[in-house]
Amino acid sequence: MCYNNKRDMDNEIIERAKMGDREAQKQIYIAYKDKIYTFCIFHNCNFDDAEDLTQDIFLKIFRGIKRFKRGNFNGWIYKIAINHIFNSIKRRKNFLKLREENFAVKDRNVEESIEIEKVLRKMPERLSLLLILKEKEGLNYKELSKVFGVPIGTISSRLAKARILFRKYYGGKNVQR
Amino acid sequence: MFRGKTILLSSYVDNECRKPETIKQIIKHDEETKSLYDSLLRSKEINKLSYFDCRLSFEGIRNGKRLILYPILVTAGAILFSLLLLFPLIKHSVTDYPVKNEILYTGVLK
Repeated sequence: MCYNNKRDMDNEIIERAKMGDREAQKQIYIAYKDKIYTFCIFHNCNFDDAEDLTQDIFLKIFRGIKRFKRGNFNGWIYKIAINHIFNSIKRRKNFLKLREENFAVKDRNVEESIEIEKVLRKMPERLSLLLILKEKEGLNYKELSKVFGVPIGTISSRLAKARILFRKYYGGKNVQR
Repeated sequence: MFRGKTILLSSYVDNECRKPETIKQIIKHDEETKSLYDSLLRSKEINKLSYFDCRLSFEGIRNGKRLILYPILVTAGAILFSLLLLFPLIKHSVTDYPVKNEILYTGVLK
């Protein structure tokens, strides 16, 4: 298993957040806001819309946190986020347009990161999100299957497809393990 | 065949395959498999991706666009209240002229 449990939220914080403790909720918000915001940007292509979407997702998370039972909190949060993003994509499908200016983020100089963003934007939404959750967030196949609501076999084939597409669009050097 | 091989190698990249030792040997001895494996490894570059900084504060998420219902309710309440105030005036309003049958259209015909 490559999944690192340290990445998961502390149980005590989750329990406090369930009781309505604003400080605990704030900690959860700080831990996940940038990740969820980035997912939204990749699939909304507009900073304001992404902020609205992030807000909606967190309202949903804090409303539903009482229903969360012991388990993988990361997976639970990403499931809510991804379901919400995909539902909003369905609703706004006709309004979605890729905008070149959003590719370049003014306050970041990391060229490689921008290059990767471009590649991920070229890929289908489900595949790019799947790849980020696998490679960057370290979710395992079982967790990914819960997040996306598909069997493990489908996750495995989608990841292979995503990797091939990533390789196709990305011109970086080979990475040695 | 190629697709099955790609899926197998992809799951090897993720440490999720059942026989990692066998695949390791194949990669070692087969050039084509090795090159495919290397290209799949490029996805590891995603770790270089830095997340966007969300400027939305935690306090801000309480007062979102969800509260759009609030001004609507206030406006509706104000309209209802003003109607209640005006109702007695409307009810007791009297016309300046007497309404008689003579001035009606049928009366004119007669």
